[in-house]
Amino acid sequence: MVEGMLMDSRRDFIHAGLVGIVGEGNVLTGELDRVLYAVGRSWLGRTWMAQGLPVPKADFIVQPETEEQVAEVLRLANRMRIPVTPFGGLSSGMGGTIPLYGGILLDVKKLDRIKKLDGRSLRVRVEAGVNCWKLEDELNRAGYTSGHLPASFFCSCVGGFIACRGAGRLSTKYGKMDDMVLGLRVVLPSGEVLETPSVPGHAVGPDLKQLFIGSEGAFGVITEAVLKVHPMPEERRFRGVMFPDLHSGLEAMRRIMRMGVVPCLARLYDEEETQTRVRDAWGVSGEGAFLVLGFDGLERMVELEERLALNICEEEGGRDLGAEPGEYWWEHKYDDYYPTAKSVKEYQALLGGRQAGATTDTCASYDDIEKIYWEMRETFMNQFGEKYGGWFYGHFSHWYKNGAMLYPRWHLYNPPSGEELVKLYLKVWGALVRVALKHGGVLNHHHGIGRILGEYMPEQHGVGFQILQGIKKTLDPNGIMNPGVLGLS
Amino acid sequence: MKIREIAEKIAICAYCPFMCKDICTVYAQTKRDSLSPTMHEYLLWMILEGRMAYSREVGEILYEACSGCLLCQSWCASKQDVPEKVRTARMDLVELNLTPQPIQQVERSTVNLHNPYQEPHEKRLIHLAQTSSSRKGGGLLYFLGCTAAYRRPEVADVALRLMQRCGEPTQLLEDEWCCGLPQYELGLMKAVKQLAQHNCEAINAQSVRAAVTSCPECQYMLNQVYPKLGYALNIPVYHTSQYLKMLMDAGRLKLERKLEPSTYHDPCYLGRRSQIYEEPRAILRRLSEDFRELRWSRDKAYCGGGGVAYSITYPSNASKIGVKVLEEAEHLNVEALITACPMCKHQLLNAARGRIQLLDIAEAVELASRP
Repeated sequence: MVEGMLMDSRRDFIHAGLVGIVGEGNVLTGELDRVLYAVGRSWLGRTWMAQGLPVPKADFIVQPETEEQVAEVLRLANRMRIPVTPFGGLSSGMGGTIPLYGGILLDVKKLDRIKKLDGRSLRVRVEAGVNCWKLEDELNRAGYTSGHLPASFFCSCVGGFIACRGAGRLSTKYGKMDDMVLGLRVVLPSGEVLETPSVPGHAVGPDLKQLFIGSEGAFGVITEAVLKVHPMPEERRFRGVMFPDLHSGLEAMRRIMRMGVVPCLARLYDEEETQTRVRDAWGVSGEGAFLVLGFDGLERMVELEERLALNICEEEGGRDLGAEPGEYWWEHKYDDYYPTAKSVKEYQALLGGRQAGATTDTCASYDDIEKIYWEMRETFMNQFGEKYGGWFYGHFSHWYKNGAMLYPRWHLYNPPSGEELVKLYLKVWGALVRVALKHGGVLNHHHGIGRILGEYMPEQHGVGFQILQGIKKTLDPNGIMNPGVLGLS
Repeated sequence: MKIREIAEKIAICAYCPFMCKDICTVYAQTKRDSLSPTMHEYLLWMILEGRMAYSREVGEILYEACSGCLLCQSWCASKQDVPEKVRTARMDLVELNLTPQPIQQVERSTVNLHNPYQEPHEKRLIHLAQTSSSRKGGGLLYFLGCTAAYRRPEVADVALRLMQRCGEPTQLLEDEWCCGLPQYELGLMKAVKQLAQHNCEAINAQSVRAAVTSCPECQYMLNQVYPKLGYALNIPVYHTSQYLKMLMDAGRLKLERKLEPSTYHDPCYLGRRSQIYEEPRAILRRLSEDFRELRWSRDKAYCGGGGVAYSITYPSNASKIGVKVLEEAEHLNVEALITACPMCKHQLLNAARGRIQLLDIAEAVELASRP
């Protein structure tokens, strides 16, 4: 394992400084803490560990309890030129919180206060460490919802999902993080605190908050956010529809969105995922591509939206399966994330670094997204799936009037071992995201770039990447903030 | 290594994408990722794979990480028993002599004093009021438990007083030892067996038709764990809530007045471990016309304070655990928070500092049945 990067004499000095700021109980330096925080649940970290490859560790895990403490830690780090990796709920699979260069891992989860719910203007002020489930629970108690229900519901926190531009199951109606944030407080590497206006709209120049949404800790530490909230819907109902094939399902969803009907939930599974995961997890059987639809809001509106959407589905060849499969899906929406004894051999292989798998989500226009799906699938199966034994399937689950998100998942059963495995893993990523780029798609839709996709950022942004580099240089001249993330140096 | 026998179960939690992380009582309190179920089970997985080894640091994580509350299982779609996995690893740590200092202290206290609190054994019954301690000749045995004996004797006093008032002659064991649940959770199996053997022989030697206890941990241990260890009791063991309900149903315990609005906290071992949810509620609905449920109750009730083992070994963490229960109770705007466990009462009292009235269920019944 790679030790922390600091020399002993500096480490002692910095440790004393950190303890002075946050207190002894909020600075973790134990070997196991540093390993576990670095490895997390990312495939990369766990495979390094399982294969006996070096794991980069932070020198200190620091858990501030106030924004002022965050600022003081950053001032210290800036003065001492120590890397700082902001850290949230540890759900990321993109490696964005792996402390590649040691230094300080800045865990924001003790900033966990829900400060003010403003029901009249439908907004809530929360600290960055507030857990997603906790937030939703508190909002529900008061009759509101955040509309943000990601797979990481039980572990992610506000700062993390803002920093990675996260999305949840209801994003088609309620938006993803880029839409949900009204305002932000961010501690800059200098220790200064930036607060953006928490207003629904403005014309006061570029929207600075958007610079930090998706910044993955490269520009500063998000400490507080004002998020939109919504009254709990009067009615919420679900429906299952089976299409003869993926194409007809995509066409139905394009037409539904174009009409201005906005389902809160719409997940269209390709034929392969329908015949495997959907069948096993939600008990839906039948040939074709399964779509689960949900609508919420005023009962009369829900009634109308559902009817209009189902008419379109029918016109595109979809077979209405009724409310039951949709309701069952909703009630059990998290169930298939819980590992079970049935698939334990696969988990053991993944934990042991003997298999590989990932999600390469992207977003593109309606014309492009279907091309990307087919070419990604072909690329994976031809270049990797056949050689190493694997599967590829996907679903489409965040919809816009102008396009949709593709969520492909892939898995390799018999890859090589050791460093060759890590190289192969990154090669699969590269091959698949280049398909997205080739057809006008993006490197990622809602998990972020982390350390896995950084090298493709210049291809994604062209001259825009130089602009990002310039912003980084201005905000973080000493390059202390999460070095390497987003491909920024 | 004992964990080898449960390797597949460990893999299930180690691979889980943190589905119970913020549910976990200890993690939610400490916000330390190494203490989250996925991460400490991943640690065990790495030990099984030979990439790590048991050490004192592993011991420190595995003892601090789990209070045994089992809340994780209530949210887990695959119903994993994380405390059981932790307990198995702790048995390995005991075997390898890698337990943290507070655990060694509990072991010494158990061997020397027959309780985990480092309290003198000869003073086990001394805190009970004379009027309520009926030592011999009862048809019913009251199993006192260490927490009622040394921390919350009023809970036992009231229970005994109610039994007497209902004409139930109730006796105590002259030489009761700790039930062994704290030691069981800590993986101290040698001590557990000694305690179980002693108590089993002592109880079975009594001429009584049943035992009653106010402590859900004791009840769970006597009813469910002793038989697995080969020490089966020849009488049933009831929790006070069960017995008081039976007395009420039989018309032997009359209520004289209604209580102010109240709510109820489900103790972890009474609820999740022993599935006793209805009896306390049946009583409380008779006590108050305005009984209000906590937002998270029954199998999803928050832990009230970490249980005996955790409160002794990690008192700083444990003392803050009950705050969430208190906050939930305050949302309901009730006069009293009632529970059915001396340890829960003790921990919640410490956390509450006078914010709300805290009562054991027997105390609530006693208040309502005073002539």
